[in-house]
Amino acid sequence: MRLIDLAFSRSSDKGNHCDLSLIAYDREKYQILVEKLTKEALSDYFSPLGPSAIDLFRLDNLSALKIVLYNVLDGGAANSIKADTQGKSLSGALLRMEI
Amino acid sequence: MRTVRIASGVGFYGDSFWPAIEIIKEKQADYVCFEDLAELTLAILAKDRAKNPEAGYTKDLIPSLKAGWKLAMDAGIKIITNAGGLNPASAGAAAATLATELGITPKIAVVTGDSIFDRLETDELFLHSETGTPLPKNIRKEALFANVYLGAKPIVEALRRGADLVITGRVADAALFLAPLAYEFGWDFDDLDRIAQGTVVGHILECSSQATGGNHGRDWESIVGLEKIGFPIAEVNELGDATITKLANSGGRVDEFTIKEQLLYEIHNPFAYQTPDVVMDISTTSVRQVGVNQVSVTSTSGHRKPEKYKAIIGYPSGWMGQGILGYSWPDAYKKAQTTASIVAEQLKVFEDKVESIRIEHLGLDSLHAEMAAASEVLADLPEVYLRIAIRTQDRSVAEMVSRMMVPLALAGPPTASGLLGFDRSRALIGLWPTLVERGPVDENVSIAIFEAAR
Repeated sequence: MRLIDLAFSRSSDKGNHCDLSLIAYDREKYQILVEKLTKEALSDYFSPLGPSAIDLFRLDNLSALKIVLYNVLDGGAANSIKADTQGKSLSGALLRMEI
Repeated sequence: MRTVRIASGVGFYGDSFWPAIEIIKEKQADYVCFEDLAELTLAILAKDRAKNPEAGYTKDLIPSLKAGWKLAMDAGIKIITNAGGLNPASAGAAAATLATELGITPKIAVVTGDSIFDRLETDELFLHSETGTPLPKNIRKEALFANVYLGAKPIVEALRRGADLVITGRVADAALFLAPLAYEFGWDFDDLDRIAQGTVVGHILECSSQATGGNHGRDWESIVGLEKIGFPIAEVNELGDATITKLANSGGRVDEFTIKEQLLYEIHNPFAYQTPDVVMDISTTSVRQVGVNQVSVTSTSGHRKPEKYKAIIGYPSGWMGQGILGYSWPDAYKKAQTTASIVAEQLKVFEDKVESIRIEHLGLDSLHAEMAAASEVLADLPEVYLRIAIRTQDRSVAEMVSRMMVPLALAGPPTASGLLGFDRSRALIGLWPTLVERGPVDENVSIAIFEAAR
């Protein structure tokens, strides 16, 4: 299944890093995310962007995960020559991921 | 228990301020806070100030005050804003002039002291907070701005002195909203859980409509009334417990999911979100729907504030040149690829000056870029737009991208047609994050009171 079947996402920037929230539709779906979405899997999936590191935080109280991809925004908002300078669309790329 | 209502005024420089005016008209807030400064906004204001020393505050400040300030004064609603940007003093003077025009007699407080631009000439290291590198000489010399993120305390002090309007420069976004709560309820800044809960309220409100159904990922098609979306209003009690809502007749949605989404927005480490006033931990925060368009937010934990202030130094970082050119069926994608390779070939003249080239296809892979899914329909696309962008330190090289692309309408593959965007050159701006001692900054913070002439 894809992440979009379990959760929704919003992403944005802080400096050169992309910060993504993954919010489960309910507690059961959150449990699936917790079991199946590992840092290794994320690291593999986002390797085309070449992040220097990845963080993955669990928030049981909100049934949500926080993912940070470091150094993937070509210098960050005012310094990037990408069309999506702030990584706002990477939430969609995340939701396309198969687990 | 007494409650205080705080509303969002705007969520960034360029946001619509009309939803806030509606809130003021309906007297549904005690404070309206206008958050104008994203990380790169000061760079925009630096350009304005370079042209005119009286400028450097947002151009939306005076129009928004013109629209809502008299109504707010009549209703006893106070306004807090960081729209002062790089020039809070001039913003204050302009506001005082406007007050006279409007026939109102407010107390205007101007908070200054966030700029550390003068200190760039000293031998302070300004170590990069991620790499530990000292600030290089060329950046010191060319820097556009250097500002500390101040906390809520100076705003609390301004409110104590009776301000009806508080104008600041760089203040941490959420602090604009925390300040009136700390002032009204007399919160001690060592009461960390309460300060953290006030900061959470600020964090949820600081991006305006992103908390009320705008840019929302869950079931977005069912959200109605985005053309008249309401901005968030927080009703907060002295314990810091908050209920987030919006005007009854406004569009959008406030539910558990819109609030969670904004709560988590740009927060990086949710167990230790750094702000000047507190380190916020949202792993204990409770978000609960308590009514139609009413969500309760409680129980955030706070840890002691970071030892140092965060500051950002902005500096010129070269140029981008870009062009966007459309091609139609047949072979739209192949034509775009051919044009991209022609331009890449031509750019080789400047080889060592072109630091990077990006080739993107609007509608195919410009947003997800390297993460874009391969399309099976490439051969039969109805049309595609090719975007070529380069990074260089040489402005004249940046300008060559569009110079090279335009002639290809005749000299390149057939059917080039949508000549929609040629950015001859755009200045790129780098941001240098650093940490600075609190003491010298705090000594420099001052609050000036302007009163409009009667």
